[in-house]
Amino acid sequence: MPRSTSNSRARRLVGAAALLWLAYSVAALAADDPNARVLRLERWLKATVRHEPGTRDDSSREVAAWSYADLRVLRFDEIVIAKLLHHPGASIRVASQRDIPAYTAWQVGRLRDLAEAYATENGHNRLLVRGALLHGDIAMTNPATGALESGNDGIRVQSIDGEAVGLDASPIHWQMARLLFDAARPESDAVARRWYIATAAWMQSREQHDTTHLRHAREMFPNDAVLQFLSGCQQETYAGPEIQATAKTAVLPAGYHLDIESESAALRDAETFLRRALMLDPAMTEARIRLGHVLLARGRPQDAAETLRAADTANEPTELQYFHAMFLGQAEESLGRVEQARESYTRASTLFPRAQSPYLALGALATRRGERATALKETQRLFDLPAAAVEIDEPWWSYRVMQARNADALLAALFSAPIQ
Amino acid sequence: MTRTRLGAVLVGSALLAASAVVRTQEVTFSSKVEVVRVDVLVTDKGQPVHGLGRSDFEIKDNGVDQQIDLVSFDQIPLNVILAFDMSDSVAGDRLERLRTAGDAILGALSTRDQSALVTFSHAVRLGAPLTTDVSRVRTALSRATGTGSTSLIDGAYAGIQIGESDAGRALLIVFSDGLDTSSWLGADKVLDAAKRSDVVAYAVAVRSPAKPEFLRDLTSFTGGRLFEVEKAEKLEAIFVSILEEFRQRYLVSYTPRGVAREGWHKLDVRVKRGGTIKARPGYQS
Repeated sequence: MPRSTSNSRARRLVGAAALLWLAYSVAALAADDPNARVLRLERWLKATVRHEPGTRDDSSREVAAWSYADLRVLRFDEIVIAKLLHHPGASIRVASQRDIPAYTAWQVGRLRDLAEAYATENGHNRLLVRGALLHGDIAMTNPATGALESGNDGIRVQSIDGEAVGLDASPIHWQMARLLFDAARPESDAVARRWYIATAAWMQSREQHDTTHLRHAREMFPNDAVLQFLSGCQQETYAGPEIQATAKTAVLPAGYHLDIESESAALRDAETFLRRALMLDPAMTEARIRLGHVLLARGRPQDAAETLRAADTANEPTELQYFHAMFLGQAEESLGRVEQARESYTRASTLFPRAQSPYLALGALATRRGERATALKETQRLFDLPAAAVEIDEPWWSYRVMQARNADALLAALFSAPIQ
Repeated sequence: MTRTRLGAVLVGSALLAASAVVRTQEVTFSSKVEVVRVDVLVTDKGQPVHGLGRSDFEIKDNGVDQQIDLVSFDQIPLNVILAFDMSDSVAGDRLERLRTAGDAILGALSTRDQSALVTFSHAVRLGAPLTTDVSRVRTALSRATGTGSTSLIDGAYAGIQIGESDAGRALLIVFSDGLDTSSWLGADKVLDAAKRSDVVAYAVAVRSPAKPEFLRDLTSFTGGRLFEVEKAEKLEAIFVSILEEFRQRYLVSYTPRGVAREGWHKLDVRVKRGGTIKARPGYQS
């Protein structure tokens, strides 16, 4: 995905919601009606078979309407049915798990019948993958997760300008999808990998940040360069002022914590992930550019300059060439290489003549050099920018989502391929 | 930063992009002599001290006594630059109060004073260049709308540069109510620009979870003052008080002697008869 064609729409995603998801905290859940429980599982199986991946259809709407408590029980039942799909004769643990009641003998028998029927008709892995896609689609197409209530495994924080403005339940559907992909291993790893990349990109494009999702993806596919890259981007975003301010000021219910580290720790992790991405795929220029930016933020302009100079951006999208020029300019400026910095900023301004950042950078550079007339000239160029054009032509404003510019295309490709 | 806000930004962009009229504005820049100017507020028990002359002041530049060339009080026209946050969070009632406060300060200017308006959301725009025509600034302020994220640091830099563009005595008033989320420039670069400038920056920050560290530093380095307010209700009174305080300041100027030209110059300003001094702590050259 780093090398795909740029999507201008991504640059317009300035100001999207930043949703931070939290680590788990398990609490009590009321017991469910025994018959309703199995009936719900059966409805889920039907919905899974009928659901058209990538759409919001009647099947996904039905499952999306179920309560959080019902879904927690279903999550348990899905794992059991997944086991039975693979091994029809496998034993079923009848003892209760935490607050989820144990199966009755009738329920056990019904579960076996369902597994046998659906495995025969659908193939066990294909059914699990379809189930995972169903849950993922619900998580993406039903943003409302309901009010925060006792028993939520996770909550999410909505922030505006670094201020937490709301809490709600985190969508349990993401976790259910992950569990089903886990259950379909290793046969369905190829589709799982594509799903993780596409959904992680989708989350980043919508500024819905979920640390757990990428962490689990990396555990499954530790040598995937794109997942390492997206992880680096995520930590780079976490180090930014908005997420840091949110993490410091959000007032959370007892027992919950935000999975956000300090700025310096997030930058350190971002560097680690991006370096690993480059180790796995040295040709991933976008990772090199991002690494340069992270190194600048870590106060290492020499390392940043060397990293950026090694990036060949000739065949990259114009936005990436722009970031490369701006970051290299910043590194050169920090190293006192004024002419090289000026040249880099000027190159950026040539790439995006109606972007404001190059003029600000050139002006500030001149100011530091005591070149007052030049600084004023660059400021004049900034003010001369047509107000309408600058609104849509500054890549910097969408830097934080640029890495995910092809998320929708990745999802479309995933959904159009036959499910194995 | 909600999806709702995203929609608003997109709609706004589309409308602007469709506009056939592209408006550009000009700023006239002039050169400046190599004289150091220091705006000094002298108070005694909280009240401004008037009637001071050249012989009443002492200035040390990096510890070296300087001969003061001129002390002016209420004689030089002001260049008042308004740098206003026009991000999403300013929309609505807060924007109305900001407009009212802006109108009030513009109304308090003399005919010789100039004013300018810079607005910043994610984009930095020159609403009106330095002009004695207050109505032009008023019109620009009335047309400004709140949308987008916040490039406070970029906006402050643009305000400083407008102050630097004219030899007049520059007062920069920055208003912001949020966290900087989209500036390209780092705070260090803009603070460096402020240290090299004669502009005195005052700032009004509506309290938010983000501490206004940049504005605190900016006002401190330029000898101005930071006002932190809970709400925007008192903006008008604060803005007018800023102008009144600035008018009470002496402009002390000297040509540096016996000090190296380059680098940071620590300033020590005193009044022989005593009093509380507020002035910039130094300058960068």
